[in-house]
Amino acid sequence: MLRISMVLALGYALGCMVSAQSSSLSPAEKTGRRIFQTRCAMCHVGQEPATEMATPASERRPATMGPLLSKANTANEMTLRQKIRDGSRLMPGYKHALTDTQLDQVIAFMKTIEKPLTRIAMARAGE
Amino acid sequence: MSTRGTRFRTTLAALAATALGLSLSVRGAEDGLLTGTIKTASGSPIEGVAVSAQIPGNPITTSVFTGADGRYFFPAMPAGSYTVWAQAVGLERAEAKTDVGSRVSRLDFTMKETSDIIPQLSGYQVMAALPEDTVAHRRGKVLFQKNCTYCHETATVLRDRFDQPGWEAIVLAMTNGFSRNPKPLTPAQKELATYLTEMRGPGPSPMKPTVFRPRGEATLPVTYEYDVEFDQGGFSAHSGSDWRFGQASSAGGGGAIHDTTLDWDGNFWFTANRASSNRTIGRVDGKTGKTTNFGVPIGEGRVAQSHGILLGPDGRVYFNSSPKIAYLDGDLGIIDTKTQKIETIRPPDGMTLVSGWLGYDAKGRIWASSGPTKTPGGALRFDPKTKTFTQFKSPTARMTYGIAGDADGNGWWTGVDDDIMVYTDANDQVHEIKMPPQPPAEYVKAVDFGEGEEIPQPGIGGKQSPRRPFADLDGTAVWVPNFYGNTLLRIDTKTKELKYYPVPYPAMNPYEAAVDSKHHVWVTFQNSDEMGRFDPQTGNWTMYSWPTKGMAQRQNHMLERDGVLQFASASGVAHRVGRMIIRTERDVQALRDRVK
Repeated sequence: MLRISMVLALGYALGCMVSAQSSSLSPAEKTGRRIFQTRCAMCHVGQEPATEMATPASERRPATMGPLLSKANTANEMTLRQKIRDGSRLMPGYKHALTDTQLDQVIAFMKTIEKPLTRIAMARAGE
Repeated sequence: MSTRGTRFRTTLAALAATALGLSLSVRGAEDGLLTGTIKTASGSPIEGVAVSAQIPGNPITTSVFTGADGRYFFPAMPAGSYTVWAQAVGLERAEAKTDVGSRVSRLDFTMKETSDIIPQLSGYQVMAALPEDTVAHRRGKVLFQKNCTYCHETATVLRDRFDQPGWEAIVLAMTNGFSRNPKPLTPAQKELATYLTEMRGPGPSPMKPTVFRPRGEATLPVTYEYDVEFDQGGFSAHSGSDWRFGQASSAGGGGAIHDTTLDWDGNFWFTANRASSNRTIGRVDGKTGKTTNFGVPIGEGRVAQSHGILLGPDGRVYFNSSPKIAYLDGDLGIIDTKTQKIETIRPPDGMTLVSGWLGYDAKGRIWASSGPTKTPGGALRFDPKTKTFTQFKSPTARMTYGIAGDADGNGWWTGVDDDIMVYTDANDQVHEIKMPPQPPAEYVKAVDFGEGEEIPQPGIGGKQSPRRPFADLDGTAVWVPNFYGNTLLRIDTKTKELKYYPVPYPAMNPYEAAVDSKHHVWVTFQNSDEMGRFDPQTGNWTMYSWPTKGMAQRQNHMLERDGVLQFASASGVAHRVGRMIIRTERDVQALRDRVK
């Protein structure tokens, strides 16, 4: 039995889903975005369902362990800085992993996030 | 597995020569050459430095490596203003901008040494740095390897230093599925956190990392890597190309890439192993880097997922199209790379469906893994000429994983959970070979674990976990990479003789094999950013590097034609596809002559 289905290409780009526009960021903010991507995003940005074992019914989780972050979380910068450095029972402290300059860069990037971040991506590659 | 090492001979030799060779030669007046020398501050040339070039905003990164004289030679590249950066283990990254055009551009770098090289290392290289001198260190190393490195490249886990509460928080998150109400750590989990604190904590570490850099032949390749657009738009904020930030991460971006294959026009086709509204497979244009999505609708605004993909002997691209789990119970998808139209073909009623690993035999037939995972599985053979399936059931082996077809047209597949190789004969009868166990990792000693004390993950006691085999279509060998066993198994298709070969380092997690026209075996490693070439005649391995941290390469798609050998690979973590062209000394010498 053959079941043939012809499918058209669905190629399109959803620029509106990109949360962090690249072009407007300073070099420090871009560096902060990379640090955020590698140290923060797994717990503080919405996640897709796990690959492979997920079914089509699996929904995107709004976040994993931590709250979705935005510039609102930088209102009390000293408290934020202390939280990143010391962590908590559920979050590792980064005081041995990130320098003060890198902390500044992460916070600088967080200040560019207008709304709680549900997706992180660059608008253009290579920035 | 999915895509196969491919040596197309008479049938495909007739296809127009396109993308394979053009990257090795000067293409036209608009292209230019870039070269330079890399030295230490004291003026010594440095071998094995990865030099990468990218036009900002363009998804294509081209990379080459310096030779023993410290010189590098890019192939002809489109004219433009490039960012160029140099990276090597043990050295600080250097970066500059240059224009490439009709003249030869020269760009030299002086590189300084750096202290903490752990974040620059590939996974198995980090494992090699972990000490084995005491019972506590050997226990900790095994707990770490078995609990962490089957999903994460080692270098990702040990990139940063944390104190004991920090490592406990990480172990807590990982062992409880990121739950906000985790169960308390078990004694073994606590022991793991203590071990990680000793290795990568605030205090002095007993780790002894070694500087790994490509040397000799391994410095010849050129790689083209493409940042792939997410199905919902945008690119990963860290693709692993800047080693200062460690291994790649696409967390929160929504990307999923599993395997990729190249077509004969130099375009990539990749599978998407995550629920999506628009992407079952994707295409990356080899010239522009543009990503295009292709979906097989399954209703309610969703499209099927996919896992395995290969370029078939007929020049079409085959993949599994699965409505629920990406690697199970799907149709066989076929895309005509010219018209870009997909057809999906379902096995007849009564047959099991298509799973997520594909291969083909010397007769041009497609083989697909199939069947249940908890009870004996099987395989399907698809004849593209008649569009008919033949089903084969494994006698005992559960969970068919990788699959290959051999020179005689027989199929070979792995029972991944049972260390069994299953094969068919000329009469389509199915047989099994139980793989003999091998000694466990050499750093584990019998006294390290008490009686009855179990290591919570498999891979100890000689279990092999065969992954994605490949049959030499001009020979009698089937090569089987064994993930837990860290071995490469050769099976003679005629005599059924078995022979194990160790991979060059422990904890590399070998995944898929391919065999070139010289009968060299090319193996991918999940716990690595390198690919290995094994010479069965000499027993020597040569490691070839991808310039991306976090490749964690599983599938291995080889193309060989007109004397040019190249490999395509995909990285879900880096959200990249790439191809590595194995240049020869003559290719590089031709560039040396041109830039004089």
